[in-house]
Amino acid sequence: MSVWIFSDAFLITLFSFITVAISLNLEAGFTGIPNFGKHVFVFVGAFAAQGIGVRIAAWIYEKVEPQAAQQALEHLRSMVPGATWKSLVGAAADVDANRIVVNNYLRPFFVSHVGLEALLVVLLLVVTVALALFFGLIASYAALRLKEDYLAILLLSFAELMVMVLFYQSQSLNGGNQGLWAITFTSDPVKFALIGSGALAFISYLYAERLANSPMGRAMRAVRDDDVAASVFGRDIAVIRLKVILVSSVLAGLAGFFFIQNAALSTSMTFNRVIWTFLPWAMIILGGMANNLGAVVGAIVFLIGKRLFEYYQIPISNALHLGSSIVSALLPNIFIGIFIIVILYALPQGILPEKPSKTVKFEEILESEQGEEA
Amino acid sequence: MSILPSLPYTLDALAYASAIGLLSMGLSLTYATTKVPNFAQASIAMFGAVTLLLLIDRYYYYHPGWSVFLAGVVLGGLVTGAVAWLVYVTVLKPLADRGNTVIGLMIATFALDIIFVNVLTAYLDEAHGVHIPKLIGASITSFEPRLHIGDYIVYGYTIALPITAVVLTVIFHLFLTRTKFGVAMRATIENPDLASVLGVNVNLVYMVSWFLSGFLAGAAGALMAYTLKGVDPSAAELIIVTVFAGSIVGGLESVYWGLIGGFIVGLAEKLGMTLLNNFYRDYFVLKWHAPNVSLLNYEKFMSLGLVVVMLLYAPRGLAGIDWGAVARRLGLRRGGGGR
Repeated sequence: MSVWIFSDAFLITLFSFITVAISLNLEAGFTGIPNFGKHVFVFVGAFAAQGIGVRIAAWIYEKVEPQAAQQALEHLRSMVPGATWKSLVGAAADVDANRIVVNNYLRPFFVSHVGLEALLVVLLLVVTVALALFFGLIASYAALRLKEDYLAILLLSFAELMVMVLFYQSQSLNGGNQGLWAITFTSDPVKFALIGSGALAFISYLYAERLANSPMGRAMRAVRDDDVAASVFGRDIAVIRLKVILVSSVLAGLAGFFFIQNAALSTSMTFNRVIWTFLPWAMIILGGMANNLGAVVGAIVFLIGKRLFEYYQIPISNALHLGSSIVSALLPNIFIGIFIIVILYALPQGILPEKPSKTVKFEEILESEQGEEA
Repeated sequence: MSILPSLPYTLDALAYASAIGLLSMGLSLTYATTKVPNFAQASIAMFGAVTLLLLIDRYYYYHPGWSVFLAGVVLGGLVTGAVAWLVYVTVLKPLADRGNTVIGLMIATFALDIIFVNVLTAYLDEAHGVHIPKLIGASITSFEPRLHIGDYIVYGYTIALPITAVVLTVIFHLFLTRTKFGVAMRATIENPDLASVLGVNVNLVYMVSWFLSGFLAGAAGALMAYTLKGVDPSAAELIIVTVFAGSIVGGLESVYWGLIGGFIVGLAEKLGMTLLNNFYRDYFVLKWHAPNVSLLNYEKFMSLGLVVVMLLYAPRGLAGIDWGAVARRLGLRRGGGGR
């Protein structure tokens, strides 16, 4: 019982969700942008480590050690006739071959070349940020022009089409419905993912706290509460929305990048709308919208509750006389759905309601003005 | 190879478009009255599909005549209408009374979508059919009457769905224009406060609009089950994208334009994408050796494309376009107001 709460896999999931919840809170809680397509922004990080990362890694491997790469290719041809490096890392015709390429050749190569590995990590983080910025620009283009309900519909549609249609149907982008193995780093990839996601969660919390108590944070709330009034007082609504969406997209993308380090083989369906859009929404509603600590608390409470539920899933489904294993696998989703409706009814403000933002004390302002006069 | 799709495919596309039209119409109806975009519209429609599956399993297994469509539309519509009514009364109304914003209500329908998909999947997985052993993912395509016209086999649902759409729209129109309650409903859509001052029971209007929306969704969902490969509630996850696209193209607040918008989007997805795919295959793949991918896998992008074009050029949808001005500009009609 006490073991799984502090297991690496659980902590990585928790840190990733804390980051995503904080970034969603910046958009939805503080600025009033209902991002119902959060899952695609998390997915871009995974895509950077899978579809793009493995390709870049294989390219570097081929350039640095052409002979070893050639030998590896000949060995792999016994498994997949007529294989080339391009076919092995790109369109995953064979998931097993893809696993061997990533885990038996690319990973040991990068573990033994620390400099190249560090370069690759930095490169892929840059790719993640660039992809997140690109998707964020698309989203902000819509967000600057549409009402909140139109925007929610459009972002959900966009994300669903990306994750469920484009990346799931097309074999050549990210392995399609078979999935791809992500390139993982260091000799202990789990620890890498743990440290990375933990540091990211910590940094995003500090950043979000600073942002919320800055003039920018107050401007964000003004845009949320009354955008006309905010623009009358000289705030550029478009710039504020754009900045918030770009920052949140980058945070979500980085969270996805570190999360996939532990998940390894996955398809784009891993980032479905129930897990990576609805759950973060549930977390910030439970914790309290427009409250960073609330997002963290919501994520912790929600994930521990979900794990406890999954832990006692079999006794629960036995008590309800549910026979098949499929049904008991569906139960958590049903209960999460019911739970969030109950929360919306019983605790519309969440556990930690929104607080007035911290401003400089009036006495301090007076003192500084007196100091200037003197 | 010909670029034009075959007759059965065209009829199938028309049937699909009619179903999407009905779903978008229901979505626009509840949006126009209660201002909630219902993210659960497609999964609510799955109640209709499950009802039809159970009907076939119990009563129409050996002799599926034309009455199977009537039974599916009426019973599926009633069951789904009841579900939608319950959704409004037990979830959305209390939440709105507690002061939740539109975002909170959207999240609630999102939660309902997840609940419905999972509950229906669990039910189909647990329940045992009388004749069909495995209900989940069961294909019902063979349980319907068929016509033989020339060399083609015309599937019954491709005729039944457009007829259902037309009949339900006519009934709905008569309800809105010829009954006192329908007039009250239109008044409530226009101005709820004024309507309630004049003695209209606004809450009853909202409940009825949710029931009607559910009825339209259930009727469409029941017959739409024939176009799916198997009855699987998780199909709703992608159908909702098309339904929303249809509503937005129609203008989101106009019921009739919602029907037309859904029909256009459905046609664009099926027929439009097939034409595009055949064109791509014949000209780009065969002549210029472009990568041989089937664009049909990406048919959903057609709906998103239509929505983007619509929001760019006519943000208020088809309903917001001044059709008189369009006709004048095209030279179809002279004079009139404006210049």
